[in-house]
Amino acid sequence: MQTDKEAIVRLEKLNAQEKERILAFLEGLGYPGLLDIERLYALRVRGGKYYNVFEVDPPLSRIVGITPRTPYSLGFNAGTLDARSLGFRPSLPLAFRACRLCRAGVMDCHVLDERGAAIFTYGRDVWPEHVIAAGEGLRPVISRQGDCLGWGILISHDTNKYLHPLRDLGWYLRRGG
Amino acid sequence: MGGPIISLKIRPSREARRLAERYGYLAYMVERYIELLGVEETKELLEANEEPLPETIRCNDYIIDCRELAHRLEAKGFELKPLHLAPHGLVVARQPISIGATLEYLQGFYYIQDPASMLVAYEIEPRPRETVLDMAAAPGGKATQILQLSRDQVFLVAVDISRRRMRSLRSNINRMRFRNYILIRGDSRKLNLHRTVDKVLLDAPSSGEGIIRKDPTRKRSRSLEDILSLSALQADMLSAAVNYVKEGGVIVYSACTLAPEEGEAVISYVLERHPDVEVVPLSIPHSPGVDEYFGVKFNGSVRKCGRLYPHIHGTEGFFICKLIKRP
Repeated sequence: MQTDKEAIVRLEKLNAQEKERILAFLEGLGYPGLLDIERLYALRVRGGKYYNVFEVDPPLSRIVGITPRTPYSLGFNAGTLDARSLGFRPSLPLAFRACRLCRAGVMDCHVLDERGAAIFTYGRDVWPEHVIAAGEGLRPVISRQGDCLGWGILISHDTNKYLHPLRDLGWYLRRGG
Repeated sequence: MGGPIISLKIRPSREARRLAERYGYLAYMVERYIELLGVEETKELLEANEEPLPETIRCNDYIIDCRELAHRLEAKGFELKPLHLAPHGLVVARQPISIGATLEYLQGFYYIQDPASMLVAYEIEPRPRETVLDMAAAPGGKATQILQLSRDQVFLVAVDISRRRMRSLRSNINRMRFRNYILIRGDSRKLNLHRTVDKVLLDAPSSGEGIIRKDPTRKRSRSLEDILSLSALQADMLSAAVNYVKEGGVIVYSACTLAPEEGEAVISYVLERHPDVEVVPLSIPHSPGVDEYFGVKFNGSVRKCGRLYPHIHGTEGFFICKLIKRP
């Protein structure tokens, strides 16, 4: 793995504090095994506000050294860590993985009706009438048919409750390139 | 990068000028088609290029059964037909909304890909645990197909020089749910690899002359000098590919073009300089490569390379060649 301390971009294993933060997030979901904590690497950009976090299997990690260049991306994109607060923001690929557990009934998820699914994938807040089932706080979001839609957080504001998209699949059209 | 790899002066005939005017091409392009195909077949090509290329998708059977995908899209009002050239291909005959804006697309169930472009990855024949280098990978059609065909079991090193296109590549690989990849942004001729790889795909940057059916501006957008300049870059990249691949390893070279300057000329140039490399037959449907062009004789084995023509194969214009580096 890349260890050059002077490099602008470095790929490094997560430190203990970073691992703890991600583990806390996974435990909050009730499924700490959703990521293999010991296989997580951060792609650190000098002066960057956040780090991309990847789960990299050992055979792939052995290929990384094939070129002296630091990867732009690799393996399983788990999410991002805020460089200051170490707040973890899960990725869409992690949503796909988590949604399988929702469908299997192993994990609590937010479930939306057709209209809610369309609104959510436009990156907009979804009102309760379109939420068929709601979990606690930040959860994977699936449609009534079981299609994975991303990550959403249930927000209570005065007497209002709504589902706010943290990551929605529409991102692939709006920002994905 | 060196100078031009082929020297050509093309004087368009009266017939070429007449056809060029009628169909809106630069005259030198039509003269080249006449050289390749003769006048009558050139007319067929020009007519075929007037037909828009049908929208085609590649089903990602790594995460969804292709019949289920077709069923889901048909339930939404899409009309699909099998694409006979490629096992995972479907022609979108009718689309009530853009095929790139469905929930199925966002979930990675398919990739929007032109038909000839879908054939390249089959020639790579990716096998589990092989390391495959894709030298011009973005936006990721062939890269994701290589991962798909291997059930995410190859180690794909995908390189591209463009920052903007790199984002698309990352997005597509993530959307289609692959994880055995490393993306590198940079000039793929300067990778300084510490070891050789099993296979290389070079889908070379090209004039795009093959996609006139999608983008008619290509009828007039490239001069002969542009094409000769591109062919020098392509030869440079292919020479790098030869250095990257292991002995006994495979290189697949492709370009979305009908220009022999970007196809057979590039292969011939590299064969002359790398005697340890040879062309091997293709398994996909194709017309043979041309071994003589405006009096320039190419290495005879370029006839084993493949050309796909709009008027013969119903695809975009395309060139593909499979090479092996002898032990």
